[in-house]
Amino acid sequence: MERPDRIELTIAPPIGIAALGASLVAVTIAGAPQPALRALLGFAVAFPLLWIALATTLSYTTARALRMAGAEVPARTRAMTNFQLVLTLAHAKRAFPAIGVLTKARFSTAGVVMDAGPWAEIPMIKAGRGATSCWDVTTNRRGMLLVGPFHAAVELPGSAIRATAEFDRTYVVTVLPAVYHLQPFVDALLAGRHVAVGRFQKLPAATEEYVGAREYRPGDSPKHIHRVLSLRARDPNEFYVREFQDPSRDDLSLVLDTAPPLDGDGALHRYRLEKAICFVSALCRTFAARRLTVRFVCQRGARDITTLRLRPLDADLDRLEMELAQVELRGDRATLGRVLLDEVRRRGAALIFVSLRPREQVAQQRLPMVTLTPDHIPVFTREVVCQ
Amino acid sequence: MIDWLRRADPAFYHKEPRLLRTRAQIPRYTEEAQAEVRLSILTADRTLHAATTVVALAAYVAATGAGALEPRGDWLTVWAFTVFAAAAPRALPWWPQPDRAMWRPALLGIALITIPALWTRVDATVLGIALLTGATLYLARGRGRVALLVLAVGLLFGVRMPAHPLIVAPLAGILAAGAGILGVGAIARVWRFRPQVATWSAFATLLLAYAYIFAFDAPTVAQRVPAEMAAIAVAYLGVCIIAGRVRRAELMARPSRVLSLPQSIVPLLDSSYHHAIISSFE
Repeated sequence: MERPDRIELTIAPPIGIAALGASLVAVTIAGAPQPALRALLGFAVAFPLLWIALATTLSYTTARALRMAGAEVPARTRAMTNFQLVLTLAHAKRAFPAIGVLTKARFSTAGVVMDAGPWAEIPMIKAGRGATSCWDVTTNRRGMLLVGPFHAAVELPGSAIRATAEFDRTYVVTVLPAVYHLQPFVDALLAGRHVAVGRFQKLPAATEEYVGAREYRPGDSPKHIHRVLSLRARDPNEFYVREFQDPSRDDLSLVLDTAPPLDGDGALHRYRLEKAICFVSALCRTFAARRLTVRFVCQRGARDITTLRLRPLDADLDRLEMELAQVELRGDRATLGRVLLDEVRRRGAALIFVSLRPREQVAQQRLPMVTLTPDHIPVFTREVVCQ
Repeated sequence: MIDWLRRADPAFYHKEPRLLRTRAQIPRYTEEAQAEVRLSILTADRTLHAATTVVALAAYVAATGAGALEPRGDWLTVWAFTVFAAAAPRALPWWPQPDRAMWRPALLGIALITIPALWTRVDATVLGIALLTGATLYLARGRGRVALLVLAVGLLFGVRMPAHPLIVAPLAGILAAGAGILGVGAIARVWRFRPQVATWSAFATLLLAYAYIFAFDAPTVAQRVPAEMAAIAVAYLGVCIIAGRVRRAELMARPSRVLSLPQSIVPLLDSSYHHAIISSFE
């Protein structure tokens, strides 16, 4: 149970207080000289004052008695999806229930702060009990989303104050990139390039590891026939071959462009980056489904190159998405050119470059790699255009 | 591959169009719009209307000394209080507009003057004042009703001027009416955004009415103190009910969905409604 870090008091409108104060003075001045009306005067003055005092005291003590029992916030979510935020409040007082508690949470992501609500109402928290508020939060922007501090406001009708209990607890939610739905032909296109360009070595080398067996296909070397499995097969003409893989070699290299624009159109460029990130994430999932190992490279900042080796494992894809959630436009063209050259020089891997520019420089066009420009990405993705 | 996509979020591709469509349909919920919604809730609240009427009637009973104030003797004061009791609730912002049943305040005004007189004597004077009140209330519509209330305030203070000089009395009435207009205008500016100011204003109005009768009609009021006290208690309880209903409207009119500030980065193709966070509550 977490006590409120502070109680914020908002006073009722001054014009209302002034009007009531002036009226009280007027009625007292008018009624005090009349002995026969003392009881009436006392009643007329005491009732509103007692009502306001009671409502004010109850509002304040209720806010002080609120406790934050916990909040259910996911550690990570995905852009364009929603998650449930559940805040549980408890009422520590035993005497009166908390009536009409309004709760809200502060949401903030890079450059965007939502502090205005929405207020979720808890009609009543019984004395000594707890109650929950739920929000359905949809995050559109990739990155870090901060949820909190939390506020719980109590203002009984007629109260002179609005007492808001503030709980400073803040939760961090990592918003992973949205997943694009890729067209089926992206798989065939990339696989074809992979087969044509990526495989140089046909025979197993000493450094390669046995990864499994498959059915014999014309063209396979007879040296790799798995004798035990082939003899176990029912059909005498059915053979199995052993497969080897060099663990130090990647099947594909995927380079993401993070260099800011030269023409100054920052908004368009950031939009392209977001699309490229989502596309890269979807592409890696597609490759993982084909059991390919991908080397992902991008520049996070000056002299800060990130390289991830992504095997078709959940853990590696999670690492990629956590990395993509943090990517910003902080690269530079010179470093990007060097990275591309390094990747081209690596033997045995096909190279895919996801660019943010419609047209690359001549030097880069000559490199043996597949360049996907912003114009290519919509071709491979299924998107819904808002009418 | 399907397994991998399912693992990411199987319902995403079906949710995306809905999300975009939903976002496009949500209007921005400004404070002004919220005030409009709140007012519409109050306008539709029959309990609030009933409580307002009860407060007005109880205040009338208290102000006229539970029938002790005679229309025969001080007809202008009775007329002004009757006009207040019948027309003031209808001038409040939460009363349904336009109020076409104009005969209701007229009948109410006639009843308020006639019924207390049944215990004493109903004569031509009482009936004449009642009919005059009814006719004024029937004819006063729209801004005319506000003018009628201002006239009533002016009369209430004007008739109390000693010796009723021809210039001083209207001047006092005009000053009182002007002060009333200024006060109501100041409260009206605040109340759309801080509706609870209505509670404070209601208490203040009742107290001012009591201050008036304590100052000018103390002997009349002192005749029936228990009845006065009962009427004041009913009026205060009515104000408490009004406060509760206003609070209820505040809660009901709060935005159910809030959009964040616009921003230019959205990972999908939606380019018309860019928001980083959409949040709603259950």
